Amino acid sequence: MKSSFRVSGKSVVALSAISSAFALVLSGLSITPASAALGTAPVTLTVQHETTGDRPEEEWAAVGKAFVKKYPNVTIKYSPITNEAKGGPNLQVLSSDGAPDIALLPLNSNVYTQMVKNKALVPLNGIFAADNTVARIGPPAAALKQADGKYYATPHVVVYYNVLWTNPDAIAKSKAKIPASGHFASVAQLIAFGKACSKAGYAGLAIGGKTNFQASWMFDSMMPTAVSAKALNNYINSYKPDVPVTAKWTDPGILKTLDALGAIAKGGVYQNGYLGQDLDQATANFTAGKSCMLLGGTWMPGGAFETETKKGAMKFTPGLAVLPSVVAGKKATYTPYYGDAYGVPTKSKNQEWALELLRYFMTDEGQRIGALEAAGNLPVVTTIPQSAYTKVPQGVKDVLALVAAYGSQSGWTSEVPGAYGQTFLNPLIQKLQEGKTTSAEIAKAQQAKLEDVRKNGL
Amino acid sequence: MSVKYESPSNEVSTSSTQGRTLFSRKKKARIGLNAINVRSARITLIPVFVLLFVFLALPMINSVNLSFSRWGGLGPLEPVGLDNYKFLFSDAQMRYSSRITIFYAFSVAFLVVAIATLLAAAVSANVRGHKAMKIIWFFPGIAPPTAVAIFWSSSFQPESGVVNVILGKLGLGDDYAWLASSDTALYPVIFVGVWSAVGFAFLVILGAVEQIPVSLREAALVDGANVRQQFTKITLPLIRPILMTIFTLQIIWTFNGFTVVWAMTTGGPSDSTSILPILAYKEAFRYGRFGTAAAMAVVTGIFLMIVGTIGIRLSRSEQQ
Repeated sequence: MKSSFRVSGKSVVALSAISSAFALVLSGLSITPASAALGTAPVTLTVQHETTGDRPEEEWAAVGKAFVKKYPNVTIKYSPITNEAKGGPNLQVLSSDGAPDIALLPLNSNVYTQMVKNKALVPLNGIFAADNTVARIGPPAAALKQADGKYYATPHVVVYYNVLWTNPDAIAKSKAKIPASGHFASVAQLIAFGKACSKAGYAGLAIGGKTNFQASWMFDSMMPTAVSAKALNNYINSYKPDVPVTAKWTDPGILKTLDALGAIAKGGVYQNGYLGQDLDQATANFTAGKSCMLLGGTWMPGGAFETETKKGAMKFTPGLAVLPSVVAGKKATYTPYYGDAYGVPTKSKNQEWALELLRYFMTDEGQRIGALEAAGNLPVVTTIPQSAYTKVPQGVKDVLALVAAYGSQSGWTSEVPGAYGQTFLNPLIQKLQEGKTTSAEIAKAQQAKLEDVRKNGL
Repeated sequence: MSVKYESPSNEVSTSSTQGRTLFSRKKKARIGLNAINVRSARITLIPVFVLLFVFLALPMINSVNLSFSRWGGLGPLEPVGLDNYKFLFSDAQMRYSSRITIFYAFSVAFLVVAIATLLAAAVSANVRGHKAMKIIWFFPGIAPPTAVAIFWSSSFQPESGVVNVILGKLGLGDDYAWLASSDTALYPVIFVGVWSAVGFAFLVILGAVEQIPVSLREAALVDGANVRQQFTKITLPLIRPILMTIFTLQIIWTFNGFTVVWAMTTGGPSDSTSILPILAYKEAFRYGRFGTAAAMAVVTGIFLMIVGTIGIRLSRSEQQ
């Protein structure tokens, strides 16, 4: 008997309708897996973000708008905080009954250290498991896993710092020499460059020496050129008591790096009065055309540069350069920073909704409409093709090209807790820049600090 | 607060039996009334004591407790005995910060009192423009400290800062970077501290100067005293209690001052302007060592209480 299977037109329509409905249900589920559990009761979420930097306000506004469109019962309130507050006094806010639902957590701050230590953050393993987030972010996500196997914070963008923005007009007028590759081959070459600029009435390199981070930034870029990869890894992890110390702070690579930083300062590369100026003042110096270079990062083209250009105060298109290596033959790189992460405090009154918003924030869709399109930042996930980076300023794209060509290296001050790292080292480097201490004294102090942290904790 | 009672003996005006009876009744009534008054007073004082306990005593007790503990800002306190105090007294930065804080506070207080006194004397002597001076000198005192600090921080920048521009026009050079050197950064901070505090001191001292009877000055004038002699022999001795009070208060205010220094230098460069309140802030919020910060607060508090007590005693002895 020959069996025949005939499909009628009606069957096709019915099957199509059923499969479409099924697909719709499935797609709906994939977008809002927790929607049933979350309910439809009105809820107000509070989200913290920084007031300045990589335009988090625009990023959150766009993501929040899309989220509210999906969940009309949700209202999102934003709570901006300053750069100073995010790493210190914010701890009291996050541990209070008035804690926001989504908190800003600089990963190298005492705030994050204490929140993790005291289990004051909701584990984000659900978010990291959903949407293949760990793989989408890559190695920086793995680094966030705590000793208990849990994730408590998620980065949202990657910014590169230690970018030397150049003023081609000033450099041309100074007849200062900058290598074609953009990489200064040595500290001496950078000093010679600075001197040529100074002679022509420009500052060589504008930095915010007064800030609590810029003096130690360059250490992040230059130190990896003076020590082995193994030693660098140990410097990043040896503050943990269970990691044996195999690289000492008094080792030659560190001393050479500090000597180089001292030599750059002594060589008159920076603008006059840099230790009394913050990054905004240094940026203003650069955009006004008074310096050949500015030590900055990838948030600047879409921020200060764009604003000043629109105002007519910035009359040049900045180029790029890279800090010198400490040891000849090696190349310094730009430094990626994933550190301004977000998490959910256990004091949040809407934890489920906060997790759902954060999950959405980290989806490709959330990253695209927020980090990429609204703020013009580089999303932290690697699954969005670079062809979609249409809103990313050209200057940032140029940085990415250099990163693709030469790689990038995580910074020590971004990786270790601030109380042991940046906060401790920065004033010491300021002293070195003033000529009030020596590399050996700093190395000795940092080694003593390491031993203290390993013994007594943070 | 004390409640004074009139002596019942003041009420006795007769020695007769009738009088004694009347006295006895009045005394009983008065005693009853006083008892009610005392009770009412005590009841009405309860909220004050509760507020003092909650907002003054409790934080102080907590701070003292915290100073004997290790605490990163979250979680339970870990008792460490005198470790925080031992650290304070052995730490080089703490010793340096104590020295510069004392120098900063006493310099500002001395200069504020000196300048305010001279200004008050000038205005009181009706120098030209004295009415305008009263207003002009008070302006810095009402400006927000952060705005003041930011303004002056910009003004002290090399080349572009107003101060350097003026110096440049005077031919004295325009590239002084006072805030960028740990040797000089404290002086602009002292200047701004004086600039912003002198207005209030000036008004208070002016009030004291204007209370001096005109007849005293006239008598001195008749005796042939010149303006300087009138100032040193009459004005200064008579306003000395006020000067002492202002001096003491200014030390305390400057010692505890945070905003101006933070906004101008954030304690830098390389911690050279980290006065004690800034050091305490950094200890607590940047290093997560709240115990050490609390120990600093306790030591500073004790020091200021001693300064305050000495100031009050000196002020009283001057008055007597």
